[in-house]
Amino acid sequence: MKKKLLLWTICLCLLVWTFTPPASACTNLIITRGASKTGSVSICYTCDAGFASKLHWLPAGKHAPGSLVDYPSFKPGVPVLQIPETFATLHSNGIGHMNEYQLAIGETTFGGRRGIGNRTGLGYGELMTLALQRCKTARQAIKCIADLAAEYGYRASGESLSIGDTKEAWIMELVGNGPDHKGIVWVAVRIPDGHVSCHANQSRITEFPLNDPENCMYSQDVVSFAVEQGFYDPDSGKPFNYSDVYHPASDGTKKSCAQRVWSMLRRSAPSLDLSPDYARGVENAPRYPLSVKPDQKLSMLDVYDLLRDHYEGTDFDMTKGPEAGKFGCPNHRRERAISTVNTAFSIITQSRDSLPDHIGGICWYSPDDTYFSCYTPIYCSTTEIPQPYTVGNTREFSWDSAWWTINFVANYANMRYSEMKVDIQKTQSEIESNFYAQQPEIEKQALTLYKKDPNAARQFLTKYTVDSGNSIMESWRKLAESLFVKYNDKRR
Amino acid sequence: MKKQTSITLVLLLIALFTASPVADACTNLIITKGASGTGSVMICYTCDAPFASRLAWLPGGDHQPGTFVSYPEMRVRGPQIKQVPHTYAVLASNGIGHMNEHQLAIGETTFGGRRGLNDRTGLHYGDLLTITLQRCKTAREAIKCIAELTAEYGYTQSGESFSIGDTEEAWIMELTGNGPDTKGIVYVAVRIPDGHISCHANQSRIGEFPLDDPENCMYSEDVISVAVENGFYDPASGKPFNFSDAYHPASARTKSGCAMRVWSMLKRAAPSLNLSPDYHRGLEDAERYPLSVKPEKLLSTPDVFALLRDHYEGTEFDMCVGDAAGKYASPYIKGGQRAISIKGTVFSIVTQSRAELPDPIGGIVWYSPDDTYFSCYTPLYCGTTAVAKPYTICDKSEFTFDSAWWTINFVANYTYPRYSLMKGDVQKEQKQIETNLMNQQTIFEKQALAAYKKDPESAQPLVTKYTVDTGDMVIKKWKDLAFTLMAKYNDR
Repeated sequence: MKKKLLLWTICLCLLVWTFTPPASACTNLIITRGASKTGSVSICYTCDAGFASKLHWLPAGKHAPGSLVDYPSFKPGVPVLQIPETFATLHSNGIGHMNEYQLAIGETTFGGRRGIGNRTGLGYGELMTLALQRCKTARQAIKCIADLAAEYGYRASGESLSIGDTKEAWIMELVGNGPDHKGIVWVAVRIPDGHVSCHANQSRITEFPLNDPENCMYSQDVVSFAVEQGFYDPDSGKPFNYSDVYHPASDGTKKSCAQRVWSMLRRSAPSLDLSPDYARGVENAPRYPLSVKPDQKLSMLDVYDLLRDHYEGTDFDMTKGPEAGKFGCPNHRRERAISTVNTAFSIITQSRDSLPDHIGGICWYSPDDTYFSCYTPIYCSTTEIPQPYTVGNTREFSWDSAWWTINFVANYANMRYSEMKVDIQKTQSEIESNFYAQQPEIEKQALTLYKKDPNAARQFLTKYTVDSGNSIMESWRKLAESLFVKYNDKRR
Repeated sequence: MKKQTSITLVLLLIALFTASPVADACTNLIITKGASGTGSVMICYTCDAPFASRLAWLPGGDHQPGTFVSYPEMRVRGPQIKQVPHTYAVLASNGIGHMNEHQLAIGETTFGGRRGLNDRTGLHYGDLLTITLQRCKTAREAIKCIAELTAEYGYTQSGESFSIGDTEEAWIMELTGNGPDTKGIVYVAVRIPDGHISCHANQSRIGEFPLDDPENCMYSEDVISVAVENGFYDPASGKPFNFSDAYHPASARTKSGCAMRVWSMLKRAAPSLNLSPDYHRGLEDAERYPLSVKPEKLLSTPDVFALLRDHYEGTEFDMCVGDAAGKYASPYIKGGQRAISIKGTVFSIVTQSRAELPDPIGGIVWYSPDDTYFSCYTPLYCGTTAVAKPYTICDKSEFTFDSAWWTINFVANYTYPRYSLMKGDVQKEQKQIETNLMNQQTIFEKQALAAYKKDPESAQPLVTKYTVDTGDMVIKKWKDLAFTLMAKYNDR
């Protein structure tokens, strides 16, 4: 009897362990062209992990046969053969963002079933960066990621990738195909034009068509592997469902993951009146749709706003309640919100086929918590990154680091959140609206230059990228100092 | 009947208003030579007011007849002050003198007291401190000088307690205007018995005093007659004349806002006396605290620093304890109780005057901006001809780590919201720096003395360099501490 109980306990523990989502992790929002006011495909990615972001640029290159992928800022953990020609790519800490052809990728980790990662191989960040160096379109990227994983192996757990080019956006979900193989089992679904989609550490693709290559791609073994592993019983009569099979939902995933999805979808399409039931673990509550059509087309500033969220105005508002204290501070851990103190960086890309690649692709970039972030434009053609964005050491504060500067202001606000929030949002909104207002004129000038000499446009946008980042850093440091002055010695 | 009631009410209100203490204001502690472990007379002064500290060295020199007193931040209203043939160099903050080149030191707290006794034009107490230091070598000279200056030029402020110390003795002098129609002050000055310590904190402390003991007590001839004329004292009452009762009658507010700090210093210096909190708690007929007490052991300089760092820890009034102190046991939340350590301290000084050393080496002002609890003292030798630059920079409207006031203030402000979590880090650095400085002091003074004995002129550059270098070092270390805290407590 005693022995049985012990076994049961072990099994239960294993189950809990298996389905626990990664503690912090990430959030993605995908905007299709038809859902965007500016006709942009946008990949939004908050990378939530305990490191300091360092943004880098890998130049395009021609490579001799037999050489290996090896850059000062990017070297895969396993040797990867270089291909003859690679594209210029932006990445943070080895995690690729966008290339010079406006192709953009983001990710969130769902983890899922344990023990099916390959023993050796690439990590997801490496897959993203390598795919960006090698591909021009989302469809190419999906195939490239599958091929790279098959050749070199995939050592990380389940991932959802957001992949966008100038025309379409896809969500690709993947897990390893077992410790003794190399490769991934995956499905990729195109987000219908006019829709927005999102994912947040929970697998989102459920049933999918096996015969619609225009809108859905998948690995040949996606069903058979599940059957082999005992994750799916074809005789059950139930249709195959990727999420249920590779990442069965628990109350934990629902609350900390689906709730963020709920919040983005409900705010994009209030008219749908999406219920929080699924996120709150109500039995038999329906999952949230993979994508929805927003009530209105979204401007860039609308998109920023969707990423700045502590469930304000809902039943789960983190600025309310005793934990929030006198100053309504949402940075306690009662709920997992999209805006969180340990975001390393976030990006919001724009890919526009109405413009030449050099001008059409932008990676709006900010370190740290989205709520008090400030997005600077990094044009995909830039050949230089503003210096403060390239440095950061979590153990050593420095005003020369963008990560520290943005992080510090956010941290300082925790002292008197409701009061300082007003000051920070004022500066944030001033800077971001300014960039937004300047953008058409900058791009008009760049286009004029481009028509004469594409290289001149590239230089022009490089300078704009560098100057913009540097000017934000100056404003943000001044903001910090003005907070020191304004709130100095204030009584509680 | 009704009319009578209303008259009584008005009188009551006037009485309340008249006796109300200055809201923020200061704390002083006086250590006599025989109470000091280093044989120093020590004047400790926390200046609590809403401005930023600006330290300056005011040079001494010879002056032509017919010239007038002038130095930065003089507060005199009305007349020009005739200069004397020779003045001494003075260390001062914001025009308030601390110590001169002959080791004479002064501090003050404002008790306010009876209204309407001050002159409309004349000297501010800040001017009295500075000009007296420019003119005098001993405490007795200083007392006379203060009386003479006010008699000649007038006194525009309310009641003050001054702490005056030279290399041999320490005095407490209490003064207030003698009425708007006559220039000058009424005052009593009492010598603190050697071996004792005394203190004052915005409440007049001299009660009865001997009229026939010039060695230990000096007073103005009109000290009783002005009280009688103004109806503050009735000689027919049969009660002996009492300066405090006549010029600053105690209220419940002065007791809890002022006497409580006095109680805390005396009680900690002499625990065996078992001083009761009754008087400052406003218990009827409770006895006032003695003007001075003999400490249980001789006080070292760090002991004195510790006496100034206090929120009533370990007593029943401990501000770090209870619900009001919050999650981080912070003494800065609770309202209504005034501690010695407060956010609003501009600067504090702890002086040493030592007879056994030549003046340039014997006199030190230990100086720090801001809240004593998170302050860090740097030595200013009275023979110096310069002070470290960070201590001279102050602009409350513009933050900079180049300013000592801002740097020390910033660390304190960053620590307040997570008090119990972070105070250990600050105290560790504070202790390390101050202990080091104590060790260095012995070595440095030995070298300086050797140099002085060969050539008295050679001491001045030595103490100047030591004063400037040490100040720069303290602020650099404090800035490093700020950055360390910013990194260590990031996102927590």
